[in-house]
Amino acid sequence: MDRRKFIKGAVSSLAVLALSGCDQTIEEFLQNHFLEMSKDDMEAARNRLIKQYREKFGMDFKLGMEPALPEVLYSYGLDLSRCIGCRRCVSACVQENNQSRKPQIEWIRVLRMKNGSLDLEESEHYYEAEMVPKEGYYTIPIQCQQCENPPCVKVCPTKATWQEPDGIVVVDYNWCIGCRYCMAACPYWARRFNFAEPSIPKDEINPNIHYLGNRPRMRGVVEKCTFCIQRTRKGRYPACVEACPVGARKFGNILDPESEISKVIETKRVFRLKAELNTQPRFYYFFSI
Amino acid sequence: MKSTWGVIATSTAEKEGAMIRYPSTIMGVFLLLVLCIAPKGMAETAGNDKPDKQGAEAAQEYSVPPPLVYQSLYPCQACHRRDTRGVSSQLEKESGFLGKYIRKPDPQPRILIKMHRNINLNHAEWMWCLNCHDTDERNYLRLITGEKISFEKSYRLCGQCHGSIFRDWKIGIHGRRVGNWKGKKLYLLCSHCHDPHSPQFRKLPAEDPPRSPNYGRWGVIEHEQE
Amino acid sequence: MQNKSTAGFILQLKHFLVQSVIRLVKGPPIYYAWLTFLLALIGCGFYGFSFQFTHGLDITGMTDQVSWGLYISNFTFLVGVAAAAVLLIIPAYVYDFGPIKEITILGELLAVCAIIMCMMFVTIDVGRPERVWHLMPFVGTPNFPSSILGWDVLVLNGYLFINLFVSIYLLATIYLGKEVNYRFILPFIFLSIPWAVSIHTVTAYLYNGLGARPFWNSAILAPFCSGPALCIIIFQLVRKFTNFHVSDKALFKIAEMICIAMGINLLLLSAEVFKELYTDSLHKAPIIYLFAGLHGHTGLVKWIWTALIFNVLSFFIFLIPKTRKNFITLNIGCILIVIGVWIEKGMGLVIPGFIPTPLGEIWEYTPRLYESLITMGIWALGIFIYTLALKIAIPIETGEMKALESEAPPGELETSGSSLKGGV
Repeated sequence: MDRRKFIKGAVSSLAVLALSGCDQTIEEFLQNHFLEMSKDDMEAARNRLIKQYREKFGMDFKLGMEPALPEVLYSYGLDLSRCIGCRRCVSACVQENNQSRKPQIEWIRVLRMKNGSLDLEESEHYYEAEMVPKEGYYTIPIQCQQCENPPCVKVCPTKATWQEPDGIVVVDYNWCIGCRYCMAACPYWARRFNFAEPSIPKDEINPNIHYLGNRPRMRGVVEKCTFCIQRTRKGRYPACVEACPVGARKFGNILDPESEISKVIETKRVFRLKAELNTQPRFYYFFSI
Repeated sequence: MKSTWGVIATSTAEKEGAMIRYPSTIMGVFLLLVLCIAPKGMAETAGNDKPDKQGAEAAQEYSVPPPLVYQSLYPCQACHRRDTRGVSSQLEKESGFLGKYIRKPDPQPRILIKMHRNINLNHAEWMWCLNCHDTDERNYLRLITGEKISFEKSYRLCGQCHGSIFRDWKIGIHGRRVGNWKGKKLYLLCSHCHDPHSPQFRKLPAEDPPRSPNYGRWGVIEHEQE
Repeated sequence: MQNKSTAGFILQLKHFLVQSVIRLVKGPPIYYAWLTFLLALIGCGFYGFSFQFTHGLDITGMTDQVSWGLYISNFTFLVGVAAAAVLLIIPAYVYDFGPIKEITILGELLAVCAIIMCMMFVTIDVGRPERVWHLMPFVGTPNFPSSILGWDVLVLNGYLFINLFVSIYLLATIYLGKEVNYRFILPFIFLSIPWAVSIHTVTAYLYNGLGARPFWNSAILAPFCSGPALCIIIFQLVRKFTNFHVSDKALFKIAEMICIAMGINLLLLSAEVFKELYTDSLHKAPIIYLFAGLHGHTGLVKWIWTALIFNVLSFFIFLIPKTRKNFITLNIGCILIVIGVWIEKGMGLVIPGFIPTPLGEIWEYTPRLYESLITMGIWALGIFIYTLALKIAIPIETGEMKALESEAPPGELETSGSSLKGGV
């Protein structure tokens, strides 16, 4: 650890110059990987972030760092026979998770497909905001599938993205170097990159944040769906589940046999996207009727 | 989604016109049967607000928010008074001028032309009011067995026909979920989302499509696509 | 004794430095013009980079849809160039082909410069370059052995050091007028052969191992060849501008090897195209996009056909002895092959992997001004370094630049040699 500190000191002094043109403070620059932080480090990081956000957005944030709940493994179900493709989940997700409005970042993409086809290449991503459902079409919302065998985690060169004990794949935005290898590896196109400084109107900020989830991000890092870690670790449903007007979205603890998701798997025929890639998504699509 | 309930004006008196829209003979017979049984079942429970009949289903409690009807027309018996059946009419006692309008409920299926005209009945073809609403005690709904149930338990009524969906609803698969995945499940009644008189969802306007990948990017002139 | 040798070493070092500086500064007008030209491009690149550093990768044409672009394409191409040094080493040392042996150092220096360019391309492609230390062992948390990018960092650095070490060792011995101790250096030279294979194999694995991208999910991704063609052009230039002797025989030999490599490349490419088209599964979409365009998007079609025509033409130019041994056609062939491979193994390899996206969206990537400037700047910087390196290496090889005649103590070479060895 001492050697580490020493080398870090050396690196840091070299970096101060480089940083002057950059948006990072020296504390932030030297901050450790989240999983290697001590209690004090975490407290320091929390205070620094809260202060930084107050300066930037003029409000007090509630920054959580809750660890995974014991005996919990999240899974998600999406009822394709109910989904109408209204994109309410997308906007709820953007609101809840402080996604950049300009440039636009959306973690959920709703694809519209012709009845009878499951060819993603034939899907419409940019269908108009008309009345839905549209006859002759069905829709599939796609977001991070929280794979059990995540290719994105495997390829990350710095371990900046990993799988938590409750199954959520998270990103440490302060550790990601922005190489975008995970984006190339993701078969579900679930990761987004902050090409520019993200911008969110102050009155649309959600101040209830989690370190590994919806805290405001910086330029040059990758982000993704975290099953609303800031909500789910407090026992709440993700925002997309609550927003869905037709109740197509199911969420719960798969280790609990009484949970909705366990019941979905027990009583419905489910499938997982691109099962042939053996990514083992924790995201199940099913048809209730 | 707030349901598509029409706002129904509360009125002081009622009077219904006659005519049924879907005069299906079989269903007519069926309805008559139901109506014949009704007084018996009613007699059993009349006059008390005892909980529903025992049984696994009835005993099972699902915590639901108050039915939407509680915010609008309820209590139904403000108008549909039991005493209009001649037990002891408050109105008659007061011998108000409305007394002459008071009639016994007419069990004949028909289109309502005076009251509840904003209810667009678009459920199954053969359905009409008294398939679900109790004839004599309008604060209650009525199962096919004749059992009276409160509006809080309306899922049992819906579940009579929609059995597989009822099964899904009970285990949390059917229906919108809000609140906590952990701890006690919060249920919504069928009627919180579906208008029971016209249960099919209406179309919704979709929200805006994603912007072009260049939206908000440096030095790119965004051509608005309309 | 110790003091004396240290003093002698310092004297030698001083002599060397002074001589090098003089050689770097002095030159014919065309040398100055060349350096000024390169410096101007480097300046443009640096300006572009400072802009990117403050604005983020926003200024590039990359998007979430096509998340790697010109930078990674050039990186990929340059890995191939770097690995090409091996095509000089094999005939020179394995088959003991004299004419090429003399010029391997130039090839190795080319590899060194190519690797430096590779590293620059990767660094500027990263969203937060100041955090690159997270990749390093001890200070950072390298995801080793799971991440192929971690492996790539390892093999590229290893290759850089082997080539740097071998070329410096050889130059130092020649400079000091000693016999090359082949028993010492040959293992390193031979090590560089599989290592060269490893750099483009691992780089290919970067793409290859991604199930999400069917276009790259192919075992024939590994071989690339264009470095030797660059070598032929460079050697002719060297021959023209310096006294350094490069025999025609050596050049023709290299051309023969290019011919074989290009033949293999075309064969494998056709195998891949056949596999995709005959199978006719949904996975063929990227290859259709590349060669014919998809749903009206034809951004890469003209490029890949240009590349293909160039590659086939150059293959025949190198195949037919008459054209191979004619310098005009030979040089045309070399230029064709460099351009052809740059397109095919650069943009033609990286971009179609992203089109269509895993969700079937088609978004066409076009490089934008600043990233093109930065790319040119890095190329110019690499060539600049190579020019300077040749400016010192060639006089040493030709014997124009030598150590002080005065008694170089016998221990001298060993000390410098072992210190270099320590560096590896």
